[in-house]
Amino acid sequence: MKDENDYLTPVQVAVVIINTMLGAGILTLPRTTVNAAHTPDVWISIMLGGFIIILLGMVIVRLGLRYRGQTFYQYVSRITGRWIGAFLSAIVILYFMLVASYEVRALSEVTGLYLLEGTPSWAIIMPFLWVGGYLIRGGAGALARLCEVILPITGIIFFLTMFLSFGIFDIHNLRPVLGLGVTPVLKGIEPAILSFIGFETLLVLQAFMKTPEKAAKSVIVGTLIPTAFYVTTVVMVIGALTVDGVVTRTWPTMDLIRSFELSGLIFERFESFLLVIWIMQIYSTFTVTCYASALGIAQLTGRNLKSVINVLLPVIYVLSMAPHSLKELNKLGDVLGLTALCLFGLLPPLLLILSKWKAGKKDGIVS
Amino acid sequence: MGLYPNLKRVVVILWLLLLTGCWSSNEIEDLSVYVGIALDKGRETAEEQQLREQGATDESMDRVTATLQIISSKSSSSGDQSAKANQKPFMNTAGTGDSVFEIFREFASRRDLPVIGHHMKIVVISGGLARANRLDDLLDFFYRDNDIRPSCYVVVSRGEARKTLETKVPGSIPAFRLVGMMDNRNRTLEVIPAVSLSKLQGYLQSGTSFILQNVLSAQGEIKFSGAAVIKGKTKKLIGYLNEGELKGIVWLKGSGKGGLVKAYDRDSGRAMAYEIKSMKSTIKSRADGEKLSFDVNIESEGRLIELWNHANLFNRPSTKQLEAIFEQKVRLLIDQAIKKMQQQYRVDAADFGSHVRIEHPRLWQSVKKDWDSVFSQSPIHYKVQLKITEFGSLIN
Repeated sequence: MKDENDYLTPVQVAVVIINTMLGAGILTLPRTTVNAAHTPDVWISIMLGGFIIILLGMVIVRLGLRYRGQTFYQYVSRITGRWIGAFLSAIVILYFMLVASYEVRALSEVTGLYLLEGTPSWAIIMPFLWVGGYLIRGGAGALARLCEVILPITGIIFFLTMFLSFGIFDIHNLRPVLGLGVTPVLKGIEPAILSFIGFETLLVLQAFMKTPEKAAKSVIVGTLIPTAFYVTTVVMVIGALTVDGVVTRTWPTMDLIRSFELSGLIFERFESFLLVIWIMQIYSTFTVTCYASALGIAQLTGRNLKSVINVLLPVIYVLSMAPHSLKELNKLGDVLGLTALCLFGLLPPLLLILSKWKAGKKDGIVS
Repeated sequence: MGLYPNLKRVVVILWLLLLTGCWSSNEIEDLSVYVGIALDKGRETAEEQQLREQGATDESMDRVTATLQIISSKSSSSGDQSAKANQKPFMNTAGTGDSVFEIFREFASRRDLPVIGHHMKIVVISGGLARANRLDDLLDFFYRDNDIRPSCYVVVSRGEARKTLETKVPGSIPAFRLVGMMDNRNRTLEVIPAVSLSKLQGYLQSGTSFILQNVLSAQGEIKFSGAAVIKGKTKKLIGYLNEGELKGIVWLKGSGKGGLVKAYDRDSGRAMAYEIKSMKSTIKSRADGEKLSFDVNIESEGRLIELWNHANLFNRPSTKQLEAIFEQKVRLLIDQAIKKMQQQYRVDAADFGSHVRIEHPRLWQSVKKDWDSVFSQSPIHYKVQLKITEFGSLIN
């Protein structure tokens, strides 16, 4: 039987969702959104994107409520039948696996560029994988508690470093608001939504909730807080680097922090702070997705979670090394985002309808 | 596990080996930290010439000479006091080539300590070089490099850039002096807001014209004087603004933080000075169809800080008259600046374009391609209002 510690509270679920959303995207978001919109209005796109994500999340919550205590992998075959269910589960498992390897690779790219130049990427990635593997052996409870620890640290350091850049912030760079109408804003929504990928972990997490009804609240809080992070990022980055300056930088948020120095304080430069919290966020995103993937395999094949993890980590390592260049990595990120949108935007509503229809039919037979 | 009860312990102890050090660490004593760079038109230094004569091959076309200002770590370490006092805390060393990165790596074959750019504070580009080369080409390496931070400043020197990295003051580091001078904006209108690499990239990408601070040097002394005008379309230097014209632009933009206006009394011809306490300018763009015009309203408050007029104590000009004299002086500066921008260089060096971008975003889409020439045909109407609010410690 599960003991009290294996259940997740609604707050914990919200925190895990936040930590999963905040990941590689935070360093590239200003560029990807501005590239699509070409106006400074992308902060509106991000807010709209957050709103859409809340709606999508709600569908997953409703779906989960019909199958209390079950993960997606368990209930999907009850809706669609065994084989289609197994197929869909396999796709979701593969998706989580790829996200995990994408995050790991992004970590090695950025730390290799700014922090540990000269350290081979395997030496960065392997310890990272081991520590991640160690955490998820503890299960969802351990995962959630770790997320609870790192989220406040992330928040404080993030907003502090962002606001320290106020010296080079110029409000004129963000004007005019809606100068070219709403079309650019709409164009910016797509890349904005991609940064909110992470809400789909609810497919797994809701099963661990004692009160799954409250998952809706978790989704709302879990999306609004990343929205605040993202809007702050985009506003500060564009305010300092201008719309035209953002589009050419690979990691614009890093460049924002690298663009100022404060003399007189103990610290003059703050990029290492940003990198530290960013690495923590990558770590949490990695562990959550890796866990979601491992749990799926375990439930699908009926094997022990721990042994699945032992096999999964090397696979993720190999996958993370697959992209040959940063360009390919970015492409993988885009493809993953689009897959996620299609997969978790369309699949849950379909399943929900199907499940209701099935239930209705059953009721009809009974009555 | 039963077979090897101590295996866990052994593994844990082996883990400790991983904690022994940083993988890619470099001791600071083993590095040459450069803090400033001067880029000049390519001319081989004497050492380089001799090296080449002895057989060092170099097939580059000698476009750029980069002078690095390296902080010498040896000077700060032990040594007897007298020797230390005579020793300069920095060392300038130059290399020539057509790729900036190649020049930098060339130093690896010329000195034992590799150069690193984490602490680079300033790039000085010589005017001649900026006239002949696009700034985005010249600075490309600095933008790509992961050591050099985008917070590094960029200035132009009308003369030889390497001369601005020299000093006669023992113990001072010229690159730091240049950066420190940029903080003096509350004292003079001649220092314009510092342009960092990241700010510069915004300009270069958007294709607007802009100005960069100009540095002059003479015998180890340097001075910020006027500005270099970079044309947005070519991204090359097209000319300079002298100090008066630069002040005119500062007044137009209302960007000054402090400084003075000096004028002369019409009758006596003696000097008088107004110390700026505040400066504000509101620029409004007006679009009449395709025709653009600007209304600029400049307001300033300050104190009368010097007046050479004690001879005719009872016949002093009134405050109103003094204000009028100062206002006229400011108007003169502004007229000069507008004339230079609109008639001689035909570029918008005072960022009027961003007002159109913000106030008439749709019109901006059609004019931004050719903004500099649209700007030079747009009339600028301005009003200047100076207010003397106090007279210092003297009563009037």
